[in-house]
Amino acid sequence: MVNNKQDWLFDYINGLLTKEEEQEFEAWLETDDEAKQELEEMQAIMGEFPQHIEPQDPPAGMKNRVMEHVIGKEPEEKVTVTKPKRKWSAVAGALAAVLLASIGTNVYLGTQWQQASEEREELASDLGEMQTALSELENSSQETGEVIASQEFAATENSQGSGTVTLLNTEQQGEMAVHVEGLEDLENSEVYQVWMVGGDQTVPAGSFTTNESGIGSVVVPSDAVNEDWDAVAITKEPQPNNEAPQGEVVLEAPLS
Amino acid sequence: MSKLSDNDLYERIRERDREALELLYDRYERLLYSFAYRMTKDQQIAEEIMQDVFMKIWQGKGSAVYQKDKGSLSSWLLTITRNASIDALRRRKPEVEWDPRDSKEETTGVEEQVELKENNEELERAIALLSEEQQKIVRLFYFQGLSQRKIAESCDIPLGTVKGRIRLALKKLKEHLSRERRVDYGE
Repeated sequence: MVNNKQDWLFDYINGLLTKEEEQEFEAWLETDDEAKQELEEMQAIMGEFPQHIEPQDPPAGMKNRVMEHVIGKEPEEKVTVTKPKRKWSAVAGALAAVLLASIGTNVYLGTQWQQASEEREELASDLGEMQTALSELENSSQETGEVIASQEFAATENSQGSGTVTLLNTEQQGEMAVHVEGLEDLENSEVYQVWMVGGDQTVPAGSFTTNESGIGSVVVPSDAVNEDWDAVAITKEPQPNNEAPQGEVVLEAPLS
Repeated sequence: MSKLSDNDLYERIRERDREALELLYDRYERLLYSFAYRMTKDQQIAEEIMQDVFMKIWQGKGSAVYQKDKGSLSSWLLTITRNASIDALRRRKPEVEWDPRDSKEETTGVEEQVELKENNEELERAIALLSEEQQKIVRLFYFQGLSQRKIAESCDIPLGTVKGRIRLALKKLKEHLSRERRVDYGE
């Protein structure tokens, strides 16, 4: 690093300043028109160079791969959730209790963290994820629905992922859309399983796999969205179609 | 929709319009990919950079948000592509050293001389017109994204003079390029 701010210019252009230095430099630029002009001049000059490079043919299929990476896979699977039965086994009840205890702790921690973080960026992120989920719902039903609830998933100690769950009613049925990012890769027949959790009940609500970027989504048509649920949780299961969770909770979102 | 301006397309992308994202991609795929490839000389890494760049555009978080008052969208796209390329280079080669084989004066072999003479890239031809030190500075600063301190060490010049030398080298390169024809990317 060099010492005077006017000498930070090219390290700023190359993204080599720390976040604090970058903010300091940008604030200083606002007070120094000459430096600001110099930055703009250098950026304009540098912006010319790519126009003089040798064109390359993009690899075949790159557009599809990039779009899939960016937007994520379309929902792979649609699972109908049956109306929850009110009689569950003791084993299922115990699992639900574990899920709920974990959710309670993490929702609290998630709230604390959220308050301390950069609110604007978080809000932008939330909005983007909600819009993605809603967009997927629009694609699947071609209808306008009434949103019952939309919540952000909180990561657990088992995952660094994030995402959104949206429950809504269309003219014909209830639907739940889940969109997640940042989940770790699955192996063999593993799937990410969505669960509706309420009281002593844990009901499977669709499963999905993720792409190479850890992005996955699923839209589940189900009138069960109108039931009184406490939370939605996602576990990593060794195989699809489990009736009760075997794997660890990776994401969870409160609904009440 | 295909006749929408870049700014209109970007606004639609901010509203999560996938079609607009695809249109923007179609408009800039060749330019941005060619640039990423030129920076990294690696097809796979260049494709990863494209994924990174369009992910940033789609997510639009933090510094990856285009601001009209800071220049054209195309300049901004090239800037974030260069930044992503430099990041990729740093991940691959954390301590990049100057490779003397990149210097015009070091290319003494007959084949290399022929290659240089026949080089049909305008940018490379213009770089070859710079002094050896300026060539080195352009490559270290622009193509490898090194810090001023590392450039000073590598070129064995005082740190206090690096900024002026980078500025001069870039301006000289621009002068040479202004005599060249731009590549037509069909935009």
